[in-house]
Amino acid sequence: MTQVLGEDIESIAPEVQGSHWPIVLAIALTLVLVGLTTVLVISLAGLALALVALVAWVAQRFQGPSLVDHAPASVLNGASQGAGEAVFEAPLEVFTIQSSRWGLVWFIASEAIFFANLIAAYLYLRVSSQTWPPAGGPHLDLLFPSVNTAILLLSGIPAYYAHRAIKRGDIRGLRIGLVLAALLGAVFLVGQGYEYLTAGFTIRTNVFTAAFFTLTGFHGAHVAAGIGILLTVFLLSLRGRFSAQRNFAVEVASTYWHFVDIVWIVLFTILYLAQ
Amino acid sequence: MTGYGETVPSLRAEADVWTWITTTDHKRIGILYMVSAFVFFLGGIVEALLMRTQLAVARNTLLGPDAYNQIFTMHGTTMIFLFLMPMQAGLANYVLPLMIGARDMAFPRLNAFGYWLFLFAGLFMYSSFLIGAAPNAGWFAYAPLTEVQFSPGLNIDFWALAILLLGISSTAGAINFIVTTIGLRTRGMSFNLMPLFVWATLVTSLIIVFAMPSLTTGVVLLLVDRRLGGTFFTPGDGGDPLLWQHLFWAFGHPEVYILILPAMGVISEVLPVFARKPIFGYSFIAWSSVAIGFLGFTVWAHHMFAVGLPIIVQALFAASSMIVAVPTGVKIFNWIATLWGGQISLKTSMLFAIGFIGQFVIGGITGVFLAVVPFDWQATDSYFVVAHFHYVLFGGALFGLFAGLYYWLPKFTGRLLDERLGILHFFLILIGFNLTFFPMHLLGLMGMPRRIYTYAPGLGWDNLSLVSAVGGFTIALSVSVFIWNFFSSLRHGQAAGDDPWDAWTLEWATTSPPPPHNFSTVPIVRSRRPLWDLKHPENPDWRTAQPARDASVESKEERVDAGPRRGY
Repeated sequence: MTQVLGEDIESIAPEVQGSHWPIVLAIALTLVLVGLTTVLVISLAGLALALVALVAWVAQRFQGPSLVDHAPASVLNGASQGAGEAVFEAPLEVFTIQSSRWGLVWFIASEAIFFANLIAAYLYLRVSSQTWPPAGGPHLDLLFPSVNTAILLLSGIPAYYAHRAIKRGDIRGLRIGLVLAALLGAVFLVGQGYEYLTAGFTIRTNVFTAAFFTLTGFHGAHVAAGIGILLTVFLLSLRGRFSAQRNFAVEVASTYWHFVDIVWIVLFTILYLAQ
Repeated sequence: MTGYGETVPSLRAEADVWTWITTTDHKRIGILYMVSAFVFFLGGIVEALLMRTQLAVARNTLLGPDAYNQIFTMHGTTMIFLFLMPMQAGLANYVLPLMIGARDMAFPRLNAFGYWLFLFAGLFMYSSFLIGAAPNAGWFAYAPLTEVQFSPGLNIDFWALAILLLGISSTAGAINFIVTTIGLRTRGMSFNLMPLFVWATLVTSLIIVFAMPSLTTGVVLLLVDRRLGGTFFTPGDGGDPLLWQHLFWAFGHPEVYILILPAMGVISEVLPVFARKPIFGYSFIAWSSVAIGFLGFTVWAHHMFAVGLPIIVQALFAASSMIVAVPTGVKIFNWIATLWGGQISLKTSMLFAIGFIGQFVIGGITGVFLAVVPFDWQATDSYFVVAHFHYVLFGGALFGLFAGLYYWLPKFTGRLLDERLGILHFFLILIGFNLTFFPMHLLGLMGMPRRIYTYAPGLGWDNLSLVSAVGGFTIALSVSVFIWNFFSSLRHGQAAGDDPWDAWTLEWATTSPPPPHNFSTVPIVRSRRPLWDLKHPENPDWRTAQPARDASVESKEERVDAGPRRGY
């Protein structure tokens, strides 16, 4: 028992040892900034590189044999012994997933706080101005955005279903759910693009329209990211990476997707319903 | 003696560039953070010296107004975002996993990403000097000065964009610290047994996660205004410059605690070891950090007393600001009680820790002055404010960092620093610091505004400004003594051994520097001083009354076995 950590500690590290994708991703994001202060093409190149780096980052996690396969049997059996000895109560995979789950919680929390700040800024402007929307400001039409909202909310169901399916080991259900959710999300984005183009006002019109485009724009970017995550998980599912026991990536995709949905409910309420 | 480590790898032997670029080892990332932050620190010092030289005599012509604006903006931004925060991130990166007996951080690659993003964002911001357009609106970048009609150049864009990346970087780091602390504590280490530096880092990280989005939001809206024609911060069309101030200080005041809490954590580790006594009032120190972190979010408008908020609002913010002094005072008294009756050993680290207490108290008291609205109206935007926050962030945060560096560098390098040079460093910086910043209190009360690039003779500011400049160069001299000490210790320093200070926390249980996997055997923790227990098996802390309510040994042992499942 004492030998477990003495010998194997390096082979059962919690994550990939050594990776150049962190620095590549950091360079890519910096290129985006450089482009914004010089020529825009550099930003686009930076975005493309960032996308590659993100995909590679995720792929690296899924490379090679699973950690569980390699952990010593004593670790998997949840052996826990006396003082000074190696102690694992659960498979290593569970440890990293519990950390990852906390990571997901705090990541979403930080995003939620960001949106809360945007919304607080909007409400501050609204409360402190005499008329709202300011002079010449538009009155938003409700019908089309309501339909679009329904589509986005509907997409939460297949996302939920996908996660439920893989927990039963139903890979086919997982794939269908993921694709359906991504598809509905894409329809929402197209609808939002259509709304932007036919709005009859621009970000320059007044502070309401600036806030409208900023808030919905950031949300739209998050929907796009969510679609990216759903599709990435879909691709991984094609390569048979998930099972009833191993499906944390699905949990990430579906949780994030629900988060994006909830943010939209708040935005829709304060931007459209409470005009 | 009975350490958990095994081999002593030399840093030099692994100096292959590619392994450093791709590293995900928290110790190496910690070193990268600290070295990069220190280089930015030197940049910040050069900027400070330029300002002090410019103001040493009246009507000096060393710097023009525009250059001066760029220099003071970059000085503030550098010291806060590119030195103090990443330096503390580096220190915590190296030490925190060791202190909780973990193998690494929870997300090693995210850790590396945070470091590289910080480095490139810093370099990006500094690249603005190359085109002569460094940020020039002060570190809090007030709108509408920062709007495009008043600041048409790229200066503010460099600032805003770099701040966005730095926000991502520090949030990533903070999430990593939180998850590591929650999930990777070694067996038996409940929250109640964590070292106080870990507590401080945990609370700091929580503040970062909750505060940073306000700054990000402000910067995003600013960029929409500047680049896309928005009107968030321009009056007319419903925009409001005060919105920027609210967003900025909703981040900016918690930021002060982000900067000071890690230093307080360091002090809480250093004082007991060099007083040869367990920390006095562990729970009070831990929970006062939580209280400070929480209260820090309720005081932001005391930075805005001069903008005409309703009187009742000002009164509330004045009251909440003064309340912060309570948990801070709790810490001070507990530290003093830790020293009381101890066998005090005045190593350099201890000197810095004691210096921290004295100077931080001065900064804290002037902080209470400034929370009083009428006084603030008198002193705001004067050199008094500059003196106040330098006593907190330099006399406090920086002294705390140096205490930490003298304490932990032997663990990082395996070599002891020279004590005589250390003491020289301490006294030079103590004298230099007070020469530089104490006169600023007087200058401020005599009406000298901050951020002026020159002044007329005969206002009574000349002599004190000259003293301040002399102090600035004394600080620079002291830092060069430190650098000399560091490099000579790498070559000629006495070997540190695993545990040079006879300390009690887990980082001293492994070798100096630790092996890549930190510990060969997973440490088991039964008290707040696990290494004491290991060294004194006949009289371990957990057998006596610590924590006091665990009366019987049996129940203690039960608690450990049922304790949080942790490992690697």
